[in-house]
Amino acid sequence: MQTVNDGMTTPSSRQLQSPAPAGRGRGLPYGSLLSRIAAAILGGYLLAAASSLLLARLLPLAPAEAVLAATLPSFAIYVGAVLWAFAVTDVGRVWRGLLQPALAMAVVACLLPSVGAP
Amino acid sequence: MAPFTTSVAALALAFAGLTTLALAMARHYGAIWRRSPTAAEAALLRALGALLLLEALLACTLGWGVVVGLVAWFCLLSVAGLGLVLLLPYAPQRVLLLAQAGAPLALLLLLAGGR
Amino acid sequence: MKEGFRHSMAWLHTWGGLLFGWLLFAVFITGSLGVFDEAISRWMGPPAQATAALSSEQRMEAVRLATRHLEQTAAHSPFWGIRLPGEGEGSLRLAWRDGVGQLRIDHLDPLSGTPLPATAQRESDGGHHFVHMHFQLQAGTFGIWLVGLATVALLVALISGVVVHKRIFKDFFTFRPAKGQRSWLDGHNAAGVLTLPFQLMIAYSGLVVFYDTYMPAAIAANFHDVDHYEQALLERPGRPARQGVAAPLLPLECLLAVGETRLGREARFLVLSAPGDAGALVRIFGRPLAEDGQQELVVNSGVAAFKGATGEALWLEEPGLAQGGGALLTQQVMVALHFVRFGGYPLKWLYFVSGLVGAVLIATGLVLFSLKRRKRQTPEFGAATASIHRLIEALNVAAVAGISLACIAFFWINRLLPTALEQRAEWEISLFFAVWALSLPHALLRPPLRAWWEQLGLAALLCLTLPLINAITTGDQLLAALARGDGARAGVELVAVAIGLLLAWLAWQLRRRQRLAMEPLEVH
Repeated sequence: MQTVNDGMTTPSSRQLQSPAPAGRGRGLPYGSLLSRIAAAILGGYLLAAASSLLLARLLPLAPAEAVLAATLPSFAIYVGAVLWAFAVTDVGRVWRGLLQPALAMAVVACLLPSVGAP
Repeated sequence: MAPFTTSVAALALAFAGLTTLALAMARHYGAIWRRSPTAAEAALLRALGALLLLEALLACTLGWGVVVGLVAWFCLLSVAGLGLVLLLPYAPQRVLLLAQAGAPLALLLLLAGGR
Repeated sequence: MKEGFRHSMAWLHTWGGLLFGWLLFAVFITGSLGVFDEAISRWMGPPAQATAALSSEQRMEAVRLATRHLEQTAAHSPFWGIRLPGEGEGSLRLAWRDGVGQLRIDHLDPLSGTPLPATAQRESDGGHHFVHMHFQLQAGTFGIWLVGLATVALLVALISGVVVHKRIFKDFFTFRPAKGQRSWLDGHNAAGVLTLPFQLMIAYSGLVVFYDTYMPAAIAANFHDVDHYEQALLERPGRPARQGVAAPLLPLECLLAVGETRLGREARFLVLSAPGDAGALVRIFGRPLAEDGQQELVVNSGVAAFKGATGEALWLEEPGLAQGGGALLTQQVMVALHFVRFGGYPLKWLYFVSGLVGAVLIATGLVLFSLKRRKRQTPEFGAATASIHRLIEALNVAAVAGISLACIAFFWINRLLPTALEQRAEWEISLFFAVWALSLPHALLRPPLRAWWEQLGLAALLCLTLPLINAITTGDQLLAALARGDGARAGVELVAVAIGLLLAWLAWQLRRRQRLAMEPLEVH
């Protein structure tokens, strides 16, 4: 907290290389910032939800137990995803890194049979 | 044992333990004795501090059982630590006195209450 | 890469902490007060009645009287709630919904069944107001989601804060007072590091309380609906569906007697769903015992459920036992950790203090944000920078000092509103929000430092004089409450006075700074 500046811009690749605050006097890159925030909040949520979907169908537990056991850790995944979304330089990579595994897990989960009673 | 006795004793032990751990650090040791601790002194203080914190845990488990006692212990450490942090810069000598008087009294209280 | 990572985490900590800190401070302070919701409700409610515990026959008679009253006044309500007297509550309290869906409350004398006048009740949400603020900001499902998002942001801020704070162990016990920004940072770090396990636990368990709202994907994908999921999870039969066919209820007092026998303890309240329907459901909730939760985290005082029309026993949650498998047990332990119904008053006090330290953690973070920007004006918003920083400063004041003022004002509102007022409980909450809302324009109109100490000073004044306004309006005095051993009522006022002294000291310090520094923008 004490050693780093906290400019309005989210870290661009240039900032990550030099400690000097960037993004001043040449317009603020709100677009990429908003995209990153959306990726963190929405993409992170989708990743967490997809992880709970997959885990619920993989865990060798009674149906409701498996669903609950899959849902409880999903919040940690969400928090981790948000942190990761702000640690990665390239916003495009953030979206891809969150949505691709989310989609993959959701698809696999759909192929597995439902665990609950009909 | 009555939770009130337990909490008072555990709080005193946690405070004494954290004070001892703080004194193992050069900054706080120096505030009282005007020099840095030797490596042996620091190690001794750390061991004593850890022992006192374990005694605080023991007090908590006597009062509440293991599960609730563990939760109580974590919370007590936080509160005792904050008290210590707020007192230490203002009156380091008195903190030391409080820790030195509190720990034996707490142990007596536990022995008297726990039979 | 390492510095880059720390840099991004600092950015995230600063801005995420700022935007959600405004909300989180309110969540923390109302949550801390909510730990003592029962004591606050008792202080806010009608004067304590010296009531002997009701015998089993008297409880059955009370439920019979309650049923008669509800059949006459609330025949079409989707539910009935009957709370039996006990735990300092002398009246029989009935709740239902009227034709327009408004919650209605009546109090009866438990022995005669005569309705007690509203003026004798001082109808109030009491401590529940703080609990509802805590988890939903009194804003329904939207509020629950907003608090959930803020809770995720809290976890993010805690973890990014640990990353940014380079010298956790070196500065573990360090606080350097009277050094301006350095002291604020020391305080922020100490509050965060020392209570980190508590803050992580309280945030995560808070999410787990509403896991089926926040993360319904796996439930929706595998179960027909939440009811089916809960039946499978709790291994119990489903709730009877509403039939749309009228069927008389069995005498409730008989179900009460059976329920109390099955639970092995006294009932605290009864809830009827769809009364008068063939699918009516009666649930009888057990009363917690003094020894509950002394040695275990999960405290369950038991529920017995019956079909209202036939009396068929549906399910029984036995008191004291956590039922179900490992995942359910984990979830129940996490929820129990959040609600602190274990360990008695010592644990409640530890949670109260730790929660307030969480509030201090957020407040110092907000103050630091503005302090840094006063020192070096960075044009981070271009030409609008100065006015945006001014707005942020005002929001800080309203989010910290304003909500504190509103919380203590709520106690005053409770004493000053006439007892005969219609919708009195709703009025109390509206006025609470009015005080909070007014704190923002005040913070915008005054210089920041002045706004800080004026609002904190007023809050201090209201805290310190709370015993006085109570004595004037009810004739009950703090010393008298202490003398008759009414710890709940006396405790509320004693804590208010203690917090008032702390706030007064803070306000006085800030006022002195403002006087000393002729430049009103410079906090030390």
